[in-house]
Amino acid sequence: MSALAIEGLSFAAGDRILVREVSLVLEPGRVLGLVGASGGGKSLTVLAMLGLLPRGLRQVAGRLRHAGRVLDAAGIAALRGGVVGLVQQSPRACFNPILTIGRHFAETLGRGAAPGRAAALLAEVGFGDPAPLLRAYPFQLSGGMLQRVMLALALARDPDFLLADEPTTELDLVAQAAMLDLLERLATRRNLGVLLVTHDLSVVARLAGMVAVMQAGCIVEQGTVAEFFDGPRHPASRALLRQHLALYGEALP
Amino acid sequence: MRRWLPRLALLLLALLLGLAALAPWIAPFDPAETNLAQRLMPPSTMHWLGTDHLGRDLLSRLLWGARASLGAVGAILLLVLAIGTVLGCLAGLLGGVVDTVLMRLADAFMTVPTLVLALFFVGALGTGMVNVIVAIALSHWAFYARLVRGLTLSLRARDHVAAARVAGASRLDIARRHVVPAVAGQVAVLASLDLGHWILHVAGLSFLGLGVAAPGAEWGVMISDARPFFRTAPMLVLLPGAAILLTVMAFNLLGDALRDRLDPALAEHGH
Amino acid sequence: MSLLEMHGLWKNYRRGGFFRRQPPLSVLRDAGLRIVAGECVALLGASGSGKSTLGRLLLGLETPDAGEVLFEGQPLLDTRGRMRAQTRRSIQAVFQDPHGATSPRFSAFEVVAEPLRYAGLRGAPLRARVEGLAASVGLDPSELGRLAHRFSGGQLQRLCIARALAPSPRLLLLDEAVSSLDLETQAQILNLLSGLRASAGVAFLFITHDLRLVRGFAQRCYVMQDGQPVEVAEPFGQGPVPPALGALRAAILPARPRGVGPQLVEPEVRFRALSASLSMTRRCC
Repeated sequence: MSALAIEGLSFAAGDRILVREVSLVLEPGRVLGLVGASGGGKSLTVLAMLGLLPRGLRQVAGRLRHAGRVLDAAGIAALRGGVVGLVQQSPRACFNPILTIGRHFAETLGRGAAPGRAAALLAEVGFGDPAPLLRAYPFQLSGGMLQRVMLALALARDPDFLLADEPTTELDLVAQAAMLDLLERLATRRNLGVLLVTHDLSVVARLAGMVAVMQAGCIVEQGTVAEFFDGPRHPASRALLRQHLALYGEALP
Repeated sequence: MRRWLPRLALLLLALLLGLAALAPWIAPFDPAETNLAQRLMPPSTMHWLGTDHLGRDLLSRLLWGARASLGAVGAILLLVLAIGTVLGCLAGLLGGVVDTVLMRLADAFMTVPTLVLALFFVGALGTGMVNVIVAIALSHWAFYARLVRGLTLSLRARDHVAAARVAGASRLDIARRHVVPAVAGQVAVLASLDLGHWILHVAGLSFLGLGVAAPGAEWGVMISDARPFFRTAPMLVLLPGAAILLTVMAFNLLGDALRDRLDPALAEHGH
Repeated sequence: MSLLEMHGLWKNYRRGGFFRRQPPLSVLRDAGLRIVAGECVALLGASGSGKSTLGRLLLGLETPDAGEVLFEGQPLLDTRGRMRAQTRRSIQAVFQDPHGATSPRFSAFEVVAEPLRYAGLRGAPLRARVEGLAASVGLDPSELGRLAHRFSGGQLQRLCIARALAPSPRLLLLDEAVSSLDLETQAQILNLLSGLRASAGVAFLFITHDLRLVRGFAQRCYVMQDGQPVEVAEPFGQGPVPPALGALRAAILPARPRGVGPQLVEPEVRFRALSASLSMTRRCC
């Protein structure tokens, strides 16, 4: 089966080990939530899966495996966009302010793209009338709209997997609910394997089937979402769940 | 290449500034002292670089010329930064009528070429280094004012400026503590790149006879005076020319180095 | 007498760009609200509902196109659009993004000291007050020499709270002040703020889009509906609520995944459980 897996991933900055022995498996059609407090290494893990670690960090151990085959650096680079799409937390930072949305699509889709493909993608993410949007500049769109456009760009080359790094953190409640509904529809329709990184457990409860908890660079617990919400075992997981339930006026089971 | 470039630039500049500052003490001769018996001599133990057409020691004249040129550029720098930063901040922070008036004024000054402005000043006030300095400063402040105004406007929208207003800052406080420190870096880089340009202006205007009057020593004047003797004693033209070249190069290297250091893209990686 | 009273406020913004040449957008329409000394009031609304604009009007950062803002019975701004120094000190704010709200060049000490400097405090008394404020928000005074942006998000937000409390304000605006923090830090900051309100008697206006945070923190609640704050007695109650609040409630994500545990219930039952716990915790405010 064409799963995407990282095995034993570790990387460091200088002498300090930032992420240690992380193993995750993404399967098509399933959503894996990666949770943990800020600074635990979740975003870096996502970047490592795409071979986009920032300068100064080096991989110390671990492999990336796709459809059973171990990938080298060239193989990982080939995955980007075509097999694995990325949606990030801050959409505004990912757009070039002097290019129209249409130009962004042209860059991603390349020269031989069918006309109307960009419009079709925008319609798929919920824009009823894509034409004026293609002529617009990023500063003219709200955060929620930009996030949806970023999702459309991520799906432009029909990837099998989607890495979503805090996709709704900067959105308000209403936009967040709409975005998660959209993600669910797209994941089902395209049979995507989704890695959903978030610090908000309600997002996990809404969308994920499996959950992994990361603390200080290590995966401390992994399992189904049902098992997690019934009673997590690790103290870090219990702390997360307790704070989450406190927002709803409940206590830990 | 990257590593020794800024050091070379600083070294060169330090050398030039040092020589210029110490000119009154290290120049072996009075730069205005003529000695017709010794005119157009090649380098010797007494005159290390030879003498010019009036028997004046070239080395001393070059040293005093450095003093004049670098001093002028320093004055221009101060004037341009002062006027440009103050007016740019005013335009950016006060907005409205003040902004419009100042920017139209800037437009007006930017359209007049330096030479024309210098001629106007000299015509009105007479020749002299001070007028040259003022003329060059007046034809360049506008660019800096526009830059500072643009940066001020974008800073105004930032939350930390709003927070400062809520904390009770007056507009002067905001200018002093938030705007100026933020724009200083960019302004410094641009100014350092302009310094070489200004040296050429100073030399050029002096060459045309608008600046230092004879017997004053200044590189542009030296080139102008030596024109008739170019074929017989080319060094009289080439040496001040080389001095100008060296100085402009040093300033440009400094500007490049400063820009590289303050480049935000590079700075982010360092965090 | 109310501490703060706003009524009849209108604010328009010119709109262009994506939709060419539209009539000006009315962000606030005949808006008004009231805050009494020492109480904690929440203002809810989605992005673009006008809640931040109302906050900026309250802070005097912008002037309304119509209507007035009264603080302790007096107009907030005089006829020339300026605020009295004492009023300026009495109304302070904590903003959403602590990194954006602090200058990257300031040390932590400078961030907190800024309002005190503008009030004329110097030297040893300044240092003593800044250290006291840092301690009261749970920060180590010996760390104050570090560059502010080197602190974590939660710590930087604490610095911003210390800065806001420095002039001893009577009203504190919290503009999405915890929205960009993670869950654990959110809870800590909200607890800190509740404690500070109890000890200092400051009134809060808590602007947020996250309905879940209002529980147990705010005593009264407004929601932005068509450019106007509408007071809602029971945000989680059974009765009819403004459509904007209904949309916010419907957008709340579930506490648990579907089909797991006792939360496989209709929304009304869930909210009944929420309001029961709300009335129990209300007295803790």
